[in-house]
Amino acid sequence: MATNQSMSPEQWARIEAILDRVLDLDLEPALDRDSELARLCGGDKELRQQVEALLEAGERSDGFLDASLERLSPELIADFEGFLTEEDNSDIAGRRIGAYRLIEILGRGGMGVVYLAERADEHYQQRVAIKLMPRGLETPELHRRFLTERQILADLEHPNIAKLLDGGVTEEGYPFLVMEYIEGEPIDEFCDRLDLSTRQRLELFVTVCMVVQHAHQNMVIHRDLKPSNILVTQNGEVRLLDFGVAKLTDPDVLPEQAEKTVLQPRTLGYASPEQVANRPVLTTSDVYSLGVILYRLMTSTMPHDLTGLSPTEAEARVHEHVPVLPSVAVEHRSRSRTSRILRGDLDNIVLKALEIEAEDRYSTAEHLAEDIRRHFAGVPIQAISASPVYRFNRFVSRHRVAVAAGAMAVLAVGMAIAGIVWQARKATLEARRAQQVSEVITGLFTDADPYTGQDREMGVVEMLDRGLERLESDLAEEPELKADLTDVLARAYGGQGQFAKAEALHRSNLEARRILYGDHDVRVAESATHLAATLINRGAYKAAEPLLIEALDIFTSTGGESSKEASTVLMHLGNLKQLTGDYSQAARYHEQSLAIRKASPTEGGFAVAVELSNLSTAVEQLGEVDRATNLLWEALEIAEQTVGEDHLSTADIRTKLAVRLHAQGDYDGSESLYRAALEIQQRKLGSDHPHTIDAAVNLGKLLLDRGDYSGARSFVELAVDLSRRHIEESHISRIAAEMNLATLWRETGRNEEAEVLYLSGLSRLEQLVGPEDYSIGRMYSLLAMNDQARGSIVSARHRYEKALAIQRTASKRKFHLAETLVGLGSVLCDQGQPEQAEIFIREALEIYEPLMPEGNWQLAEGRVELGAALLRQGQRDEAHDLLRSGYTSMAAVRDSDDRRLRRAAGFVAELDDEGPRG
Amino acid sequence: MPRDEITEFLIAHREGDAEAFEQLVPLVYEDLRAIAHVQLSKLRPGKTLNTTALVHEAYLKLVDQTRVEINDRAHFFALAARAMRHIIIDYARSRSAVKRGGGVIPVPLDSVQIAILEQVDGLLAIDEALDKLSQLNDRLTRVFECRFFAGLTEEETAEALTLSLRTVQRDWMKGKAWLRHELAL
Repeated sequence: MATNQSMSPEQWARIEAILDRVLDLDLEPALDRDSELARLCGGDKELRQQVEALLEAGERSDGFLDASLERLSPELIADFEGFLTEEDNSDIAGRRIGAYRLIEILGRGGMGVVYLAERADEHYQQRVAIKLMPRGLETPELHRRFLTERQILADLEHPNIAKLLDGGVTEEGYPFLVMEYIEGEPIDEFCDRLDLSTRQRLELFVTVCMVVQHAHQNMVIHRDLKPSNILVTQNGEVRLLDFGVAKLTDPDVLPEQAEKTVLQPRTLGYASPEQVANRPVLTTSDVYSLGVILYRLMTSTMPHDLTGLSPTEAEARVHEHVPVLPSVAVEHRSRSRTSRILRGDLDNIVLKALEIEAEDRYSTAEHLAEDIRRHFAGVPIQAISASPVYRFNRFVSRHRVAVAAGAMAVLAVGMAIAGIVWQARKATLEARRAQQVSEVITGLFTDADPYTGQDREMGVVEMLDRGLERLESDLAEEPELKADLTDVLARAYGGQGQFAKAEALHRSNLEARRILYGDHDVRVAESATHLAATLINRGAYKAAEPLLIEALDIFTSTGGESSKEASTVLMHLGNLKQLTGDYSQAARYHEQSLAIRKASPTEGGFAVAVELSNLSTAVEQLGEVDRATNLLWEALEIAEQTVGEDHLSTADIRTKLAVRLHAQGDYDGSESLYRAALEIQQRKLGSDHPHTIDAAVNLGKLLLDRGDYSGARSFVELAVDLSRRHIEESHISRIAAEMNLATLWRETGRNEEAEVLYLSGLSRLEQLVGPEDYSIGRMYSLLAMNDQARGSIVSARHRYEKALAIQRTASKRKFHLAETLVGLGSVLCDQGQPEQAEIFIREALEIYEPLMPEGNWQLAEGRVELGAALLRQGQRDEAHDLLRSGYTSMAAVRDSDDRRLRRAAGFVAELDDEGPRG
Repeated sequence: MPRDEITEFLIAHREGDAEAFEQLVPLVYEDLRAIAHVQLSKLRPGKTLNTTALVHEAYLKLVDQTRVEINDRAHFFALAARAMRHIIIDYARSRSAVKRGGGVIPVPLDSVQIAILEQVDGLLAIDEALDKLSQLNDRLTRVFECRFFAGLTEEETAEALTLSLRTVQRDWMKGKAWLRHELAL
């Protein structure tokens, strides 16, 4: 029928909504269908006709559709049985496809059935493999994939890749591919059957790498590399098959936008972590699969046992378990000679290919092959030795998933320890016995690592404990070196939040160094500084201050090279004053630190940006809002010049500045900074990184505040998706992300769902910050706005009052207090108490006016509400300008069907109804 | 396909989306077809096609019940419904192709064949209309498949598609209404 055919999904959705209501009338017998239909369809006669016709058609039960397939005639069923017999797949021998006669099934899978066949042509006999698109699925997607495979095979002419011979469409319309039939066996079985030596296995594997490289150079990613797709013929030639899930890469497509694999390979064992997690796949994903194959060929075992696991479980397993070193894996099977061969280079090569993060692997299959060739030639390989750095990366990456909520914190701590160790090593190497230091530091991580034998997980703290024991036992005769390394460890404990332990170590180290060097020595000052920093973290500000003053005195009197340390001490002092509420002294210290950093030729650069940012925080508290903003602009400029526009630290400063501008109501400036920061983070960290959550949350929040609900949607949903996958329910970022979603729902008519989500956020937040925190007030305010949106004025008033009680006692976020005041005012106005409303709204405007730029819609809304309150009190003259100008400002930035704008329009209309003023 | 493999797939795709669903259908297709074949060959002439029994039998044969969760079971029924639709429609297409001659000279048809062809055309029309309906609201199509092609009850359909019973009832009604309207039945 014409009406159906021309119908758009939107029209149908509208009709469906009406049908749902009418069908639900059975549940509310009080309402009669006719009047409800009239109400729902309004005056739209055509719509009503359509709805009635559909209702009639739906309620008829005389037809074919009601009886399912049982109505089919017995003759048809008999015929259907005949059809099933004709096409029974278990008996395919002799069936023909195109010019080929099928012999047997070689394999089956989601992507198609592969048959062994021969040319029916009498002239010459050629065995071929025919791949037929699976029945039961005729999606355009699969057709496309079939054509892609055909294209890929046609383009990939290579002696080691199975050739495409022909292709066509069966009589029933299913496409098929005809490929060279390879008589061979999977590479792993081939190697095991002939008991090939490690060297022979590696030579075969290098060929495999080069074939994969050839595919990559032709912009093809295989995506399903595994032994059963890599056959070796009787002559020992390698053949790569099955490009059924391969895809073409497009150099212009960013990784983030790259298409995702949908169907998981059946064996997760060979899939890269990004494939298992259903993230975009790159050529380095094939490198990972090659790494698994190499592991399998070297050890006859798999790096991870993933049998029977779901993708999520498999992903967790890969992150949490470090593969046993290949040399260790073969030891268990008493192949001690092989173990010796594998130890060192080959262990490192395999593990580099198996890195969890794609960018840590060999960048190409060719590089992997090259490193194996280097190993043959006895030249140093590229893969970094599987000691501290590799172990460290694995350690961090393992803990990154294990501690989901603290994911970012653990990563940051990990980086910090790595940095400290590196610095310590660099500094100490110059003066002291390199070997000894290196051994101690390496020992820290070696003992912590399960693949040296023990299978047990070891926490960072436990690892540090062991390091400490080692220091005590190994370096008793080397007090200076011991003190240096104790300092490193103490800072690492601090990084782990083990402040008591850190404090004790720093304290004893400080005393040790006083004895070694006397009171007036830079190393004493260093320990004093570190002890003070730990005390600040513990909140022991009073104890920290004299230590910092002492350190500052030592550093400034030694002068010259120590100015850098002096600026660090000044920074700590500034932070300490900041924390104790002495903002003007904080600003002075930060200014001094900044002066040193700016003057220093080596210390300048990014360190200046950091102090500018700290100083900004202090002066913001002093009420110098403009200066705070300008300092951040300066910090941003310096960061861009020193570490680059694309640096993550630069992105952090952008975010901080964006938050400032956001709070000032400079939405344009804020939005572009948020977007730039998020873009950098996504590019540098990947779009699935937990560190990007806050940026997405902030940007979503800003767009919501702007009333740009359609623009906000993608960021709000992104933030919720990321946070639900990466962090726990109770985490503040996750709550923030979900509250944005609730707000989006609130403004798009999903008020019941919004209420549920807000309440869930409220209870989680109360757990986190207690019931008195200002943010709890904000939550009540949000709930009240939702009440207003759904017309529950009484509940809204109750919740606004609750919000107000909390927000009045908190000094922070006056802006949110103002929002509550306006909300409460609007409710009071609706309840016929305009006098009281006026008081609240005037208070709100006093907060908004110095803060917000003209044209800000919230400021405008405040004026509209004030106008409304005055109008209701009969003060039409005063109301007139407020309502008119407020409405105009709001209309400039908010959609015409926006709830708030419609409310404002209502008041303007009321103004007009009561006649021209004067 | 061996039972373990289908079970593995169901477990592996617990978190799958609509596209993944589409791609899993062929895994069930061939086995369901084979089971249908066996079931029909046991029937005396004149019996009707009992798809309800068919998909339940397929579930028992193809899925290792000790390893799956309730959701996997439901997921399987939704898959089987779609696969059943494909099997029936493949049959209908093959017969429709015969009628059109399939490129060969058309053969005269007897009255039984004509009666079959009328039903075949009806099935093909339903299939085509369902494709259109899925453009408007895919959920209605899925509900229709479960009820019509797999013969699932309203309760079973609700479970298979993780919908409320009330939604299934409304969707079934709306789907039929749309199809009758579309097909002028």
